[in-house]
Amino acid sequence: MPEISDLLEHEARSVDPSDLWVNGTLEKVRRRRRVRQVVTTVLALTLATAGFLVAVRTFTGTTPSQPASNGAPNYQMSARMLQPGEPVPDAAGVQGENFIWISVDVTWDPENPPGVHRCTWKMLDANGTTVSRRTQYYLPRLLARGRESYYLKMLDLTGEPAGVSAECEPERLDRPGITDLQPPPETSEWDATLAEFDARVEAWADGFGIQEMSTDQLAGNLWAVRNAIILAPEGNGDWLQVRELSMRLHALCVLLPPEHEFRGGEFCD
Amino acid sequence: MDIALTEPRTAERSFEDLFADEYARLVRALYLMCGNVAEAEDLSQEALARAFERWDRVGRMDSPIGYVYRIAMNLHRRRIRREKLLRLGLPGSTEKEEATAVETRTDIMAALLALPRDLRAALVLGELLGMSSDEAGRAMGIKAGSARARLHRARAAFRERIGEGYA
Repeated sequence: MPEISDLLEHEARSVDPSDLWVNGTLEKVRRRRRVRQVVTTVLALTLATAGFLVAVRTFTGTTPSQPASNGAPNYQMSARMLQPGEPVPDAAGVQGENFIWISVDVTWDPENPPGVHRCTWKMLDANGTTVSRRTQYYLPRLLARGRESYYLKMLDLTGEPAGVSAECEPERLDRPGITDLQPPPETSEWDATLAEFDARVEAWADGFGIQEMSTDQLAGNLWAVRNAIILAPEGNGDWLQVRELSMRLHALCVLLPPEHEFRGGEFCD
Repeated sequence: MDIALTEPRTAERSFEDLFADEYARLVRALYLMCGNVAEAEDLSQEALARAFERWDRVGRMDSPIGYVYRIAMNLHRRRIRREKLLRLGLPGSTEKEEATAVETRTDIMAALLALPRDLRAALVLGELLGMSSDEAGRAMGIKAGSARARLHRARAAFRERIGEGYA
């Protein structure tokens, strides 16, 4: 029996794209790139202008006695000191000798989730001097809701707190998008609402470690805009297995520690 | 004595070179994977267009053509997925139509199309294109070891089927 490669080569040779067609294709490809460049430029200019206008409108400064607010292009964050009598996450009370609880509220457009930002909360005394400071990466957990409230414990107070400020850096640290989503070949079931995917990770925010990982086992948390699903993928190599993923694939983001950066190449649309 | 202060840069392959060298091969490989010349040409064009749009980065990759294959296979996979979704809402499967179409093909093509899609891809990448397990794995989005195993299974399945056809 002939070699398989010979058989395939023989079959493949039955297809012979003509030079004319090849040249036409090349021209189409070039034209597409030119159009894309123009569209990208226009879009970038539009976004830059819109971002500038939003920033001018929302960055109005904060005062220690008022709930602080931070305006980023697509979300609003406010923080306030909890008052005596308000419920708090633990039994130690709203304020102790060296700590105070604050309440943080974030709202955003569910269609336009803010992603990960580096945020800093500061406790300020009556003179506006910082008496406690806390910085962490922030990502809304349930993006579908468009709103999230939580408590933060501000530690190591060096003075009497009178107000709180919250600021998030405008730079979005994650890059939304999973590079490739595909049903694994073994998957036979498929319908419009339930599928099993392998998700290839491309990018994540620096320093945003969610779980311990080893080189042959990736684990992370995933968020989806709609039908928020996810969590606890099991997998190995460059792959995460995600079950019951929503169909809004474009809105997913994956955040994993930077030391496991995916090898080069971008395979997303 | 003159001293060269910089080493000559490794020449990056131009998109036109890649296109000229690989286009026909790409179409042929995709034809074997999807069994349809028009579809293969369409996928090839789309994959190359996407590669060209990102050529600043793609051109510097170790294997730009590997990237193109990867894109093409992803596109093919998505089209199949879409078709399956569409079929969910349609009475009467098109499987019968496919079976009829297969009967009119050559033995080789019929044997290929009778393989599961992942095995078919492994066979084309490994046997027609001569990709290493690592390259084929990258193109299929799986590990090299899995690609090797898949190619092994594909060869066995293909031999079995083509043997029937030649018997």
